[in-house]
Amino acid sequence: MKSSRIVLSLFVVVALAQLAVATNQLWRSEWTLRMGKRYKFRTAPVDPYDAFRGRYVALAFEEHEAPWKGESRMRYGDTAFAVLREDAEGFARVSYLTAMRPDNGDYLRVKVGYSGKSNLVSYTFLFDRFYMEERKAPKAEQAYRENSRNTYALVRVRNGIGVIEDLFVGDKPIREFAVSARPPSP
Amino acid sequence: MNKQALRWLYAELPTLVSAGVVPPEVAERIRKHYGDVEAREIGRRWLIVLFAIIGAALIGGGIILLLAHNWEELSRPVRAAISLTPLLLSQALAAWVLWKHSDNTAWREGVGTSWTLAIGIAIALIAQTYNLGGTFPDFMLAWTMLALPVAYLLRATLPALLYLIGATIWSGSVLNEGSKSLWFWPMVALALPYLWVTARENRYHPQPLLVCWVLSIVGAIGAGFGAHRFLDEFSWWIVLYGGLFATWWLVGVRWFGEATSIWQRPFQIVGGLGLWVLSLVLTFSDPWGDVARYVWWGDLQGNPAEWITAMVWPVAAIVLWVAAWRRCEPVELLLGAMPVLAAIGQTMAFHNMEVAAAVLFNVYVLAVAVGLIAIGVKAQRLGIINAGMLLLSALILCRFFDADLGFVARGIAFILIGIGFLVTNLVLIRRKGAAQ
Repeated sequence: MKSSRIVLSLFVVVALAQLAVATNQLWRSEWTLRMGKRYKFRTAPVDPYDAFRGRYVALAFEEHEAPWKGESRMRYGDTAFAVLREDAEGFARVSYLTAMRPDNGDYLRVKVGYSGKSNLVSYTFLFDRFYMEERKAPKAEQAYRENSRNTYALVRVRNGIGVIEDLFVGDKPIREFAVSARPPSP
Repeated sequence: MNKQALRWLYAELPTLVSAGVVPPEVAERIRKHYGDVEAREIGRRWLIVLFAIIGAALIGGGIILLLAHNWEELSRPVRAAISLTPLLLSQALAAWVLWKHSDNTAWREGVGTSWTLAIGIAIALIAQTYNLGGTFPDFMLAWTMLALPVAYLLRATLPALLYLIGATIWSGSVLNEGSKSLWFWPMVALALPYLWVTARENRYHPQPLLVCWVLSIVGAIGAGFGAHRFLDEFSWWIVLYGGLFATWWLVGVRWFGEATSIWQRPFQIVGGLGLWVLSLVLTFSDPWGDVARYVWWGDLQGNPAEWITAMVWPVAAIVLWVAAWRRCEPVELLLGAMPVLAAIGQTMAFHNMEVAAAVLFNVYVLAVAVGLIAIGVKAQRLGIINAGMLLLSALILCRFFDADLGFVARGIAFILIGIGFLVTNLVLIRRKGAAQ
């Protein structure tokens, strides 16, 4: 009786832990998509061999280097905060990187890359892909690659979390592009 | 014949023998013909378990493929909810199995498999729905660590095997992140209590045997991942793998010494095959040449954990080998000597004596082959003789690759070896037959 009670409580703990890990991601992302502020991030061309990985478009971003603010320097792979602003054209720019969570304004958690001799530090965003339906993805990827200088990701940002809402080629969401790129039915 | 009828027959046999209806040797022959009731039962039970596992794995795989389609017609929250459904269903099923069928192996293994897959499905599909980045190692780590308790809760072996394989894949995926892949060993340690629990009563039961098979294979792979900088920078693979395979073999001889089939000797087979292949490779001088060429005292000097994991296998093997001296087991002494010779060879090669190191291993392999044949002949054991003869022919084959010999010479040599095989086997089989 005692052992079955132990098994039961262990089962509850394990089941809850598994659900917590899964729903935590779900909840944070959903909440960010509903409540986060929209930012437009210009994407950069990626290696064509790397761009399409089966069911998602791999993304690289124009913003990838920023000045470091603060005393402590970070090592490769550490997490830092990128403080955001919008430029005159309405696209997102990173003002600076810092080790401490900023008190106000919008910011994103980023992964620190290599830093040179100057104050500039490279970084990568934690979002780097956009999933699509398997049939649409190849066409979308083609459109994305052909117009890679005119593409941007619409990202919702809240409390350091960024979730991609949509990917645009020119003014069109990439999904529409994929549909319109389909040959007209006879 | 069905199980109940067989039980009845076996219960009747003593009465029939004592009544003089059936002579005792006929009763014994009947028993031999039908075999052990329990063994038949275990075999059948494991067949059902196998089907349960395959079924669960197929359903899980199908769900992954269906959901990976990324149904854009469905709204985001609906897709997110669907991602969690397999996990919730598996958990509910697991609760039901624990409650109602905790003694049914097929249910435990089947549900354990689908539960393990459902954890991965949930994490991956939520990441897909929300376009989350995340790296492959992070995903593998989360999945394996969340799946390990499934093995313990359901006392299910397949989740434990999936965990061990997952830990190895994770370790391989973080090779470029310094010494992070060393965490493979603590991850393996987390699965060892499961092995202990299942092996406690009978180590020859399919459950602990399966764990041992997978452990002996992933252990060999993970040892390389953990010590990859040693392998790159010192050609340490010779001593490391010599030590690891010898340890596997010697541990196997101790723990699975009463095994009656190959299936019951996981560590002996993996360790023995490893030693076999490695020793033959080292009879060539090329691998030894690399030892002197690629030594680089990089940034290893500051990491004691890496030193320990690189040294532990040769040290363990030598300790077990020294212990084998006391037992005076000739086969153990022969095969267990490999890491000692590997260390000697490594030292020789380090001082630019790579040809001498290769010669050392040629002599060693020859000694092992001849030794095995001699031991086999003395004990009249065909298996050992054939292992020795195979090793001898493999050694000759290897030297043929080196030497500039014509086809005629090679052809004659192979024919002679072939005749040797046939004659030895024939003679021994006849002698055994005559003895019986």
